Amino acid sequence: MLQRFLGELRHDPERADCVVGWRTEPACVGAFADFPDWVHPALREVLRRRGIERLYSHQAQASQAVAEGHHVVVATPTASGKSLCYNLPVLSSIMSAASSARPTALYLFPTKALSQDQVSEVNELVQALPEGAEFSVGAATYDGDTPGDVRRVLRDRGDIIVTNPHMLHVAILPNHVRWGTFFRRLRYVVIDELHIYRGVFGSSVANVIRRLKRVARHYGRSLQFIASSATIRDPKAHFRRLIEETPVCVQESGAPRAERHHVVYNPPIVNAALGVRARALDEARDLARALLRAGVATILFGRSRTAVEVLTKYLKDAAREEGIPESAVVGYRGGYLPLLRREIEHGLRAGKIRMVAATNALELGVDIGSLDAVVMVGYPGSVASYHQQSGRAGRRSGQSASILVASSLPLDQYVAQDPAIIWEGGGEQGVLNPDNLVIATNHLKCAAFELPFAPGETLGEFPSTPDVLSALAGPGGVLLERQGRFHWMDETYPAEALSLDAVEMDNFLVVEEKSGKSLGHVDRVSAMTTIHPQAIYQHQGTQFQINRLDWEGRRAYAEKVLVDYYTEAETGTEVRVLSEDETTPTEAVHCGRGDVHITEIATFWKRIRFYTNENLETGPIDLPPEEMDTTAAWFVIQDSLAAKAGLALGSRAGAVAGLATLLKGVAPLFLRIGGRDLRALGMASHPHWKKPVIMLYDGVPGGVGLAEQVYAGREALLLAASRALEGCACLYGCPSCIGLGGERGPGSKAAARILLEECLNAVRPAQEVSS
Amino acid sequence: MKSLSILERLQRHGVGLRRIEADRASSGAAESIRPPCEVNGFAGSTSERRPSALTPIPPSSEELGAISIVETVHPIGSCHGDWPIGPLDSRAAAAVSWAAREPRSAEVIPGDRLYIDTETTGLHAGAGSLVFLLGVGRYEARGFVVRQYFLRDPTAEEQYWRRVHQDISGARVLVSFHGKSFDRPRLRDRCLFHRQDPLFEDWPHVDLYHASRRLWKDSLPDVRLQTLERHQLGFVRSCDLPGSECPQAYFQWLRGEGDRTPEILLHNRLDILSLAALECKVSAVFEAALGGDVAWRAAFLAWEAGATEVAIPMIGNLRQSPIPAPAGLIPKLASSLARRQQNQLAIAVLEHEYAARRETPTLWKWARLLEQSGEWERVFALTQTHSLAATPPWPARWLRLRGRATRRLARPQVRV
Ligand SMILES: [Zn+2]
Repeated sequence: MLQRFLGELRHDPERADCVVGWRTEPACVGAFADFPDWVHPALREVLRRRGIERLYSHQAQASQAVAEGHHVVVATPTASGKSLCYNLPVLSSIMSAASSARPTALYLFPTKALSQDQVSEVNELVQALPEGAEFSVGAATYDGDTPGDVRRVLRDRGDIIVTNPHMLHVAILPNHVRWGTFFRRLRYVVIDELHIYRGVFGSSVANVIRRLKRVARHYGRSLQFIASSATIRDPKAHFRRLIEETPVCVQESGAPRAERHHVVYNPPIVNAALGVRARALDEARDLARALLRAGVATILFGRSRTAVEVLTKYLKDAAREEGIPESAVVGYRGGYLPLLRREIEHGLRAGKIRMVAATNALELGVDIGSLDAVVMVGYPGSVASYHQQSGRAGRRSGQSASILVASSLPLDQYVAQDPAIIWEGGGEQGVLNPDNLVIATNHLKCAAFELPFAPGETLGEFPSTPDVLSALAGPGGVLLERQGRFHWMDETYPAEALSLDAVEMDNFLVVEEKSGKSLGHVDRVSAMTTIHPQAIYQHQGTQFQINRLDWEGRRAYAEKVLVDYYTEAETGTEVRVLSEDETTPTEAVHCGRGDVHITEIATFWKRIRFYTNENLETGPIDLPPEEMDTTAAWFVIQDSLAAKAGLALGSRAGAVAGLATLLKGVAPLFLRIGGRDLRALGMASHPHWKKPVIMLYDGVPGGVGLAEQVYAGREALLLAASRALEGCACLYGCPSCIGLGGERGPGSKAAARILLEECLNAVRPAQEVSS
Repeated sequence: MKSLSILERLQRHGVGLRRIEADRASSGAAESIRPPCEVNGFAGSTSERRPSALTPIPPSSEELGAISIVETVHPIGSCHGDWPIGPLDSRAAAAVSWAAREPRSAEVIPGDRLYIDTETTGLHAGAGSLVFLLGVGRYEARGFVVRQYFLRDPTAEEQYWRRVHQDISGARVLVSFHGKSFDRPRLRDRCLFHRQDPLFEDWPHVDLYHASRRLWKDSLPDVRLQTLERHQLGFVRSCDLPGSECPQAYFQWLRGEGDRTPEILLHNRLDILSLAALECKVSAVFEAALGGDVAWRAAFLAWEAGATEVAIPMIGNLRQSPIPAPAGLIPKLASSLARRQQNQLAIAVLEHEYAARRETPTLWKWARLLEQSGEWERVFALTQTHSLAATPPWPARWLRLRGRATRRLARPQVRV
C-alpha cells in the first residue's frame, strides 16, 4: 500500500519538480549485547519473559556507564528503548541494596502525560517481579493532582518519584525538610527529553538543578544524573551547560530499524515573479488524500492548533468523498485525556482510524502506537523535532515514510534546497544561559530560602553569586548577612511567584466580560500586540474582541464576536546601546555584541480578513511602551559598503530590514529557538553609530545567551542567509527570503545580496585570525 | 563604554531586591494614631476586683548569646480581661478535652500543660520560614510563668532548639490556638531542619481554635483570637502590635533599623495569657447551670465525648428553657441519643426543637422515634394534632403513619 503510494510519488511527472529530496534509510538488523553481570537476576528474568533476551548495544553501554557511577546522556533516535538505559541500573541498584541503604531516584519529565506513562512502565516491570521486600519498589508520580495523604506516603516511602521541574521547583525543594527521608537516600536523577530544556525554560531549569544539588549536598548526597535526548548538536555540551557535570555520551543506536523513506516536498511556484508557492497546507491535503485512498495509516503534523483544525476538516471532507467513514480521521491536540489517547491508539491498531492530524503535542514521546507514514506540514523548526515526528512512523517490519511539505518561510525553503542538513547535520545547538542575571537572581532567592548560603558558597557555577548576595542583603533587602552567611529573611515564599517558562510572572488574564470566565493568560510582552482594545483574541477556534484592557490590574475583558477577520498590531522599536562588549571592525562592516535597552511600542492595529488577507481597517493603539534590557549582536554597515549597496536610494533601503528578517529566519538552523526568542531589527540609521545597522537581539530580559551564539556563529549564519537568498527564485524579494519586494522596495534584493557578500568577506578573515 | 555593575543591572531589570511591604496602607497612619503606651499598657478590663495578669512580677531575662529568654510570672487568680487565670481542676480539664475532642488531655496535672504560641518570619511553610519567638506558658508554684524564647541570631537556631528541648521536659499536653495547622507543623519543620526530634510530637493537643469554633461559631462574627478575647474574655488590645507586623519588626531589629522587640514580646505574651484564660472560659461553658445556644453545643460535645453524667443533666435543663438550640444541632443530637438508648431524651429534645422551629423534618423524626419506641398513643395523638408540610412526600407519609398507629391501637396488645 505504502509501496504503491511511494511508487506513484516517484514517477508522477507533475510532482517531479516538487520532490526535492529523497533518502532511503535501509533496514538495519541492530547490534546487541549481553546483560551486564550487575543486573539483578530477577529483573533479567522479567525482561526475558517479555522477550528481551539481550540488550541493544547502546542500552548496554549506557547502563554500564551508569553502573560505573558516571553521569550519562543517551542521544539515540526515537523509540530506541532509552528508558531501559536508566530503569535497568536504577531498579537493579534499589533491589540489590540492603533495606537500610536503599537508594532513591528522582525522574524529571516535562509533562504529566509523560510522567504517567513512565510510572506505568516502571510499575509493569516491578509487578512482574517475584514476591519479597527487596522487589517491592515504589514508583509514583508527584504532581499538582497528587492528594495530600498520598504525598506523605511518597515522601517517606517512595523509591522512585516521577515529577516535573515545576513541582521540584515550587513544592519539593522549598519543603526539603519534609522530604528528608527521600533526600538522605537520593542517588539518581533522571532527566528525560533533555533537548527541550533550552531558552528561558532551560535556563530556569538549570538553576533548579543547581538548587537540587545544593539541597542534596545538605543531606550528604552527591547525585548521579542520567539524561536522554533527541538528536541535538553536541548533547554532551548541552548536558554540561544544563547540569554542570560532564557526562558519558552514548549516541550510537543498536536498535534494529525497518526501511524508511524520507521525502522533502516543495510546493510548486504559482507566481514566479513574486516567488509565491502553493500553500503547504493545500499540498499536504492532496498528499494525505492519496495516502487515505491507498489505505496507509498516516499522521499529519501541523504547526499550529488552527492548522490542525483546518486539516482535520479537510481530511474528513476528503474521507467522505472517498467513501471512507469520517470517523477514520481524527484530530489530536494538546490537552487530550489519556482515555481518548487509548481510544485513538486502539482505533489505529484495529484499522478503524487511518489518519491523525496532530500538533507537536504528540511529538513528546506520547505513545499512540505506530503508523506507516508521517506528513509534516511545514518544517517543524529543528532537526530534533523533525526526527521525533518522523519517528512516529515505522513498525518493526515493512517500510515507512515521512514526507516534509515545505512552507514558504525562509527556514523551510532553506531545508528544501539542502535537505541533507536534516539527515546528516548534527542538529542545532540548544542555547541556554543559566547565568542570565534575572533568572539566576530569582533562583538564588529560592536557594537562600531553602538553605542559608555559607561563606564563599556559590549557586552552582553562577559567577556573580557573591555580588548578587550582597545586593540582596543591602538595606531593606530579603537576605540577612551574619558572619559571611546569608539567611533568607522575608515573609514571602520566593518560588511561588517564579515561573520556569517566563522571566517574570507578570501575566495578563483574559476574561470573558459577560460570564467572568477566564479564557487564558498572555505574557506582558505580547499583551500590547495581542490584547489591546479592539484586538481579536482567538481561543479554541472562537474569536473574542477585547473591549477593555486594565493595564494596572493586568486584565483584559473580552467579548465573543462573529467576524471574518483577525487583527495584527504594528510595533515600533527603539534601541539604546548600553555597552559594547565585543567588536570586530573591518572596513565594510563592524560586527559586535553587547547590552542594549529596547523600547517597544504598539502603534496601530490592522484588521485582516481571513483567507484573502485584505487589510480592512486600521486604528491607533495607546498603551505604555514595553521596556527591557537584553543582549544583542549587530552588524554596523560602514559608509563605503552603504554606498556600494546604494542604501541611500529609497528603493534599496529596505535591504537592511529585509536582511535582518532573513538572518532571523535562518537562525533556527543553528539554534534551537521558537517564535519570539530571537528578534531582528534593521535600521536605516541608528543614532548610536549614525549608520545602518542589522541587529539580532534576545527576546528575553537579560538574554538567555542567543546574542552570544549569534555573534560567535555569525559566519555560518551569514552563509546560510546567503544560500537562502541565492537559492530563492523570486526576482525582487518574497516571503521566503527578504520579504515581499513590494514592501521592501524593488532594488532591495540586489542590495541585500551585496550586503551579505561583503559581510561574509568581513567575517571570514577575522575568524581565521582568531582560530 | 563602561560596563554596568551587578547592582545597577539588577535595578535596571527591576528585580525585586527588597522586601515587599505587604498591603499595609493603613499602617503609617495607625502608627501616629496609636496612643503612646507602655509595654504593660492594656485596656478593656472591666474587672477591678483582682489584679490584672498584665502586671506581672517584673520580667527577668536571661541572655545566652544568640538567645534571649524573657520570663514573666503572672499570679494565679489575676485577671486577663474579665477572666481570672488559674490551673484547671480535673472536671474543667475534662470539659476542655470534650470541646477539643482530645480525650487524652482530660486528666493531667496542671504543670504538665504547656501553652504555646510562635511568631514566624512568614506564614508559608518551607525551609526558609523561621520561628523567631516561641512563648511557653506553664503553671508553676510561683504562678503562671511565661517563658519567651527569642532568637537573637538566626545562625544560632540549632542551639536555640536544643535549649527549648531541654526546658520543656516533664510536660506532656499542648495547648495552642491554631497550633494543629500552624505552630506545630512549623516547629516540626524547624527541628527536622536541624536534625533534632520534633517538639511536642504525639502529645495530646488542645487546639482552642477548634474548641472555640465548635462552641461559638454561630454566635460570633468569626473565631479569631482577638474576636474571642473581646467577646468571651472582655479583653481588648489597645496598643498591640498586630501579628502580621511582627515579621517586619523582627527584620528591622535584626538590621538595627529600629527596636520593636518589646512590642513583639508583649503581643506574644498576650496571646499566651489569652490561651490560659480562654481555656478557663471553655471549661465554664460546661457548667450545667448555664443556658443558651452555646450550652446546647457544650451539651452535645459532652454527650459525643461520652460524658453521660454531665451531658444528660445539661440536656435535661436545656429542654426546659425556651431558648432554641443552634440550627441543625438537635437532629444530630437526637440520632446520637437514640443510638445510645436514650429514646425518651431524644424525643424530648425533638419536641423542644419542633416547638422552637416548627420544621417538618423535625416533626417527622419525632413521630418516627415515638413509633420506634412503641408509643402508639402518642404517635396517634401527634398525627391528630399536627400536620407535616403539604408538599410530597410528606402528606402520604403522615397518612401512612396515622394508619399504622390506628391499626396498632385497634389490635389487642401482644406481649413479646
Ligand atoms: Zn525570494
